[in-house]
Amino acid sequence: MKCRERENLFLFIHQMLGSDESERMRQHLAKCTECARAAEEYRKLDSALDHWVAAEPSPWFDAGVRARIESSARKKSWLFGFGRPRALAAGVAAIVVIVVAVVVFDHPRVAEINQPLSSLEQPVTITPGPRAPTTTASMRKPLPPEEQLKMDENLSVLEDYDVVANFDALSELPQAREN
Amino acid sequence: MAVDSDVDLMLRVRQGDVSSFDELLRRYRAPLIRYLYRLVRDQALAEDLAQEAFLRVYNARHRYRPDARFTTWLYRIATNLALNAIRDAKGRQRQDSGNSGEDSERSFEFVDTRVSVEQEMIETDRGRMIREAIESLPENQRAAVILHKYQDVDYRQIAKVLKVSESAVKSLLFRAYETLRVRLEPLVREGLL
Repeated sequence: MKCRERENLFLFIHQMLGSDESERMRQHLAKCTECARAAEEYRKLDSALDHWVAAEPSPWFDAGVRARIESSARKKSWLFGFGRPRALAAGVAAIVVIVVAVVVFDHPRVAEINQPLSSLEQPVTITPGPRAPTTTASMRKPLPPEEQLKMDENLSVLEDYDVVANFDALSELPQAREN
Repeated sequence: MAVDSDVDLMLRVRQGDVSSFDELLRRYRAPLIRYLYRLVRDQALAEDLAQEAFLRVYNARHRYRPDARFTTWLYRIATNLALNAIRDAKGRQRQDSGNSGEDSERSFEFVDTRVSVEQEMIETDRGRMIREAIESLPENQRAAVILHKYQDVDYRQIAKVLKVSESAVKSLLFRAYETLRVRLEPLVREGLL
């Protein structure tokens, strides 16, 4: 008997063939003694397998299931309370970082210190004549030359604008003169 | 009085009805333990795995969708647990034999090749031969045969449990029964069965 025929025979015995194929197999078995004998072998084998007896549940099986369910529920409630150590630690760490960030960056001095370097590195517009040092804010936004000049003239620290305007610090130094 | 279907019971379990879960436990503890026992051949382990399977069903109750039979779901969980246990045991045996320098390839097949004294006492020669023949099958063939022959699960459902096609299940079963037919032929021929 060919393998495919044997497989169909097996499927027929175990009712896994379609109705048309089952009918063809039934007709074939009626006239083929070899296949009929093989079919009988499958039936014997099937009933033989009944001799393997399996274990039955122990009397404490249900109690074991309930105990596991209770234990699992306790573990879950613990996990969803305070007991998820990693999540809890991550949450606390995140809160600490946020609080520290708010405190540090909200402080005006710290904010000034921590201002981005890029803002300090903006090109400074050079205006004719000397200029008194200005605030950081004015450095960030250079004024037009006319306005800058007016502002410098009105500064109280500059008592004599002409002197200051023509002041050459290096000319006062003897070494500088010699050089 | 109408008997509640498994799906009805499971839907009630999903809503928090513990007594419905008890009913499912009552219905399926014995078949499930027999199934697992035949797969792992260790009663204590079979009970342990069955308890774990029921626990997983209970814990997954909120995710249950009645689009498949309850038993398909239950057997799929149980099969995965059993196959994992068998593979873990094989790994341990491989490690042990590696440490002792023994080559025990044959013993990798089973979780525990020893049979308890009680089992020896109740097992007939025929039972022992059949058990050994089924145990010699590859894992997926063994699971398919046990589901088909002993759990009365049809091949369509077996396909869902094992996550293979229906034609693959037919092929698995045919090859498994062919192996069994050859191995048990002396018994069949001598009329001992």
